[in-house]
Amino acid sequence: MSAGRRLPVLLALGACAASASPLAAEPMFLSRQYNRCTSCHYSATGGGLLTPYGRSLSRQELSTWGRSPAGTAPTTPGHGEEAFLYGALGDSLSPLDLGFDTRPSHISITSSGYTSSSDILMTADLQAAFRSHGFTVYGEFGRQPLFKPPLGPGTRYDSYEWWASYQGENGFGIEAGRFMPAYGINFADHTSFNRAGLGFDFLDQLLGVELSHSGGHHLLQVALAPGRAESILHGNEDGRQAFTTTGRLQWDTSSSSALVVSGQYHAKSNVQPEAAGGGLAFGFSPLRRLTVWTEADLKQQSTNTGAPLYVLLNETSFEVYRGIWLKFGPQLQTAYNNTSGGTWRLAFATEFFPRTHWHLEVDYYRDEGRTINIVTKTLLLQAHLYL
Amino acid sequence: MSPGKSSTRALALAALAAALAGTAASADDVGSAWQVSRGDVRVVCPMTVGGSFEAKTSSLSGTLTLSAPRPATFSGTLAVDLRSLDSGIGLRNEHLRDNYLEVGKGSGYEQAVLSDIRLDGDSAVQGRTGFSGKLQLHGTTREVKGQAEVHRDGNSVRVDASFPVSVSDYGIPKPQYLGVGVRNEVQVKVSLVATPAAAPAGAR
Repeated sequence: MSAGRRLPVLLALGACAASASPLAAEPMFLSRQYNRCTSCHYSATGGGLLTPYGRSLSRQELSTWGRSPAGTAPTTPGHGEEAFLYGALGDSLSPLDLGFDTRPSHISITSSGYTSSSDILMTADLQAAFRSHGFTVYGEFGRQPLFKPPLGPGTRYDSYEWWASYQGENGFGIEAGRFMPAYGINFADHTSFNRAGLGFDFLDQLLGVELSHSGGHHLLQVALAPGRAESILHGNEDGRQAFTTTGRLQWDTSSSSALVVSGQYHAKSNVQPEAAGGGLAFGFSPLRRLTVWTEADLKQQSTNTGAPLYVLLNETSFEVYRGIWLKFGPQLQTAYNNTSGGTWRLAFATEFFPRTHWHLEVDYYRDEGRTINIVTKTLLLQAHLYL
Repeated sequence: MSPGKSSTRALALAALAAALAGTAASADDVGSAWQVSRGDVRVVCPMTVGGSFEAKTSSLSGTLTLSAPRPATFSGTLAVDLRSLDSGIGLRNEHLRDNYLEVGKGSGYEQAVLSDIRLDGDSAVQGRTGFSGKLQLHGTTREVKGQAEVHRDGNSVRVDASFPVSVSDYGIPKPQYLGVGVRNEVQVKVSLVATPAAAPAGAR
């Protein structure tokens, strides 16, 4: 395969690797009246280590066959198949919560008549959290496959997320450390155009502070940082060390619908011009098993004189049977200065949760260039084990 | 989790009854009776981690009879079957019904009942009005106050009412499960349609 023909395949491979990052959140659970990530995750932006409540929910409500037999106590912290290592350690580690997240995967990518396939261990991460009296200390450490230059290709062992936070009874909260800033909808697929396309890929955490206020109907999050954590902690290797801020306001219009307004800004860095953007998202669940999220964003750079970059996407999730979800997601991303450019994507996924913390996923993407005649088809098979 | 949902349903039912009573009557309708033909009760439960969920039921029944026009006062009751409360999640429903509302304890626990309903205005009210009533829930009776919106449509009356309920006032254990709980005050929202019922013997 020539270098020119290999390029789309390699880009798709990198994108798919990002999609398998362990930061997966599941906005589809809006259909269960969970409009905040913090019901089930320690992180306010979703994904990562599950709380004891999230672990219990994973077993009792999400898995096809994991639910406790009728008449038995559903969950005792530290015990049962929902606990860390299936409860092998009991509550001996209490009050520390641990989790192990790994995702062996297979990727097959076809573009311009060429196909590339590979088996990849996406992640193998140990996650830990301690929470008491409103304070939370959180961290993870594990294997990170690196596909994109300048970090990749290769593998390293590192932590992509660690932070400490305090959540007051009055709704105000503060978080400091390395974390993914809140912006838009944190879809499980990090290659979604509102994630990777806007600078929220799986290694785009900030090293900074986030202030928040949570109320009965709203969640406001504002992050401030001197730059991207990768750039600061790893020798500024990609030159993206510049003041960055994001803001996100979620308004719960009902128990199963929410409106989200987001904004972002980063100053000029060594490799990126000053840029700012914003977005609007709305999600609702018209049926008990159906969730529909739609998001529109734009981002403009100071060096551009023409049109900004636009992103428009939808993710519709439907639970066809307990623990079996189908997803459909049309996505559009234009190019700077060219609203006719960019990429169309059709994303399809089937997710199966047979038992607690067993998550089998099949993803298919069809990416089509809007100005160049290249179609890239990607098939991703994942076994997500969350022990 | 979510024991608070069931309690809120009961409350919502009571509010609905109150609103119904308020809208249906007119000053010269003393003794007239109104029966709930259909209704929905939603209990909005704010969670301690932020956000909220709703417990819903359509199991609302009852008949109210106007006993005094100014302020409009009603005899009779509105009742919600708490066993039918549905929060959309099985485990949450179980906790709500069994651990918090304790519907298995029988009489006084299976239903939420609203009685002694009185409107702030007279019985001819249309539009928004305040109301009060006595809510029996979890074996305990307390006064509740709320707001109702009353609309007449031909022979029927539509009422949308809401009122807050403090879970602890009714001796309901604090709803909490694995670190996630329901805040003490839940909001009960009731929508019902009532139609004229046969007046009870001796009402006039």
